[in-house]
Amino acid sequence: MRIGIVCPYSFDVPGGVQFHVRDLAQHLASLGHHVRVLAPADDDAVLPPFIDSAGRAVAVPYNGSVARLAFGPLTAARVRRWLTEGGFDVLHLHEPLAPSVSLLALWAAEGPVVATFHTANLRSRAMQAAFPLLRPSLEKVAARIAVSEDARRTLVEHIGGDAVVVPNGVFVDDFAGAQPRPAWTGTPEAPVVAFVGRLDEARKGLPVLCEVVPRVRAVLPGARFLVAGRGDLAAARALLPDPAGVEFLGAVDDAGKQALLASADVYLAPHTGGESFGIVLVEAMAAGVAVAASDLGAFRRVLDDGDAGVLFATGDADAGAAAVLGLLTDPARRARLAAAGQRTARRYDWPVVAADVLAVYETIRTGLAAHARVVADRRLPAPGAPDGSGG
Amino acid sequence: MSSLAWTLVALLVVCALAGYLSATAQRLDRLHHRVETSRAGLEVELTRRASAALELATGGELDPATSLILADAATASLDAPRTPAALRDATDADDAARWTAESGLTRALGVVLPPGHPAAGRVRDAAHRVELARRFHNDAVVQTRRLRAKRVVRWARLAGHARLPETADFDDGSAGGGPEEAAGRNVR
Repeated sequence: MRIGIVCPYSFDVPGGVQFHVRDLAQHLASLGHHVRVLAPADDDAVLPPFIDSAGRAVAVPYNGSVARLAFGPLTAARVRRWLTEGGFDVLHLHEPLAPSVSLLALWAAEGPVVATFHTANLRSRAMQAAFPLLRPSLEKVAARIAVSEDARRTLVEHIGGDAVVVPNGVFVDDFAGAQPRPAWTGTPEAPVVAFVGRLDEARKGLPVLCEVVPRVRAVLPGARFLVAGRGDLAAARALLPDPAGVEFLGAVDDAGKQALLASADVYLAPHTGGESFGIVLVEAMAAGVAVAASDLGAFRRVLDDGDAGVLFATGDADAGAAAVLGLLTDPARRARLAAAGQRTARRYDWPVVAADVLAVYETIRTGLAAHARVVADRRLPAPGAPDGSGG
Repeated sequence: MSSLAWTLVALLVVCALAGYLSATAQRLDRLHHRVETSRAGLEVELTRRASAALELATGGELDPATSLILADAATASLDAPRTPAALRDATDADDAARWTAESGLTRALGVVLPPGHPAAGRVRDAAHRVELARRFHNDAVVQTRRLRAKRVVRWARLAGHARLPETADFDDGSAGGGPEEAAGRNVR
């Protein structure tokens, strides 16, 4: 199958949508499909061979933060040319309402379109105002995918229609087989709690973590908190009343993240909102670390209502500390949850998720082919012959 | 203003109106195409599911009582009358009997399918495809009905003789109760 995938965000900076697109394309290509990805990127950026650049991304304020997007007539022309030259059987757009190449591709698209909504900010006032202009384009989308039941609900409530749920994927074996690093491995006296996330986005929960630290260390004075993620270190340190016990690792690469999760005793996800999926929880479960997470709808679902991890009241540092302590002081329970987590994580393994995505592509193509047969039959002189579609 | 200017203004207004109507007609045409293709896809997936279920029932892998229940539900689905896919040549849009049969097959599969049974894999795959196809079809129907409810579409008769599409309301076994409870609000 010839598959065209469009990512609105620049590959120059890491991000959930970019990783998802990269891994999906990689996996589909490994199954023998012809896959091209279009995304903004700097001219001198080193890209995987299947990615085409849609031109340089511009940093613009959008939706409360600075996003790197590509737009304008030149980009629109490039997108159009890419579509024509690609001759795709299926066009798969990610985040089709972000003001970047996905939206431009949707505007220009003629053939069957599949669209994945990751964290669509459908509630924003800008979106509400501009939506009547976008609706005609959006009507071209033959198959909508939401990354979680929560994302689907938001979609249905705000723009109507319906979507199917296909979760984000993780290469589970990369995490399950990761080797712990001695420096990050906990001992009974100094257990390790890990956190991965942007430091300067409060909704990722660093402020809550900083309140959890002293509460945990009051009971377990040796407990170490390893914080990995990009952001302003000085500002992050300022949140801590006492810097002891917290180590900032800065940005880590894939291997570093895998090793950190494989080494830690507990993964703490103190996010306070805005999460539509929670990929990092799946990564933690895949690596075999017990998870304590805020009670957000998306997290609750990923953790099987608490069967695969401990949930605590969102934003509540006391509850968070109690959840972490409960795990750190009970190794048997920790092992049980880690094992349950590893089983749950298999559901999000790329082979499983990509099969779901392919099923979506094939369902669309089946309909088009069947419809074409019906139309052809109708043109035949002998009427009434039902089309023999079946197995 | 001179009569020439008035004529020009009137011409501009007519052009703008024509442009708007033609763009709306194009949207509607695209949506109708989506409804027809997604419906054709749903038909194929439903037939596939029923054939797979019938194959499982007659394959000798299940006990006779289970086989009979499954075969009955599968043949009911295969024998149910089909509505033509094209919106414009259908006169009878009442699929109620059809959907009852499909819900029946879903329920039979839910009761009968042994968890983890190897022969059930094909049926399960087909059932999953039915869920997808139904969602995509209902999504198209909901958006089409929304546009067709607009005054400009009704007054300018942009829909021609095409019948108003209906959502495929049957139990496909998907968790969450299906889209109707959420999507129905946007239909009417």
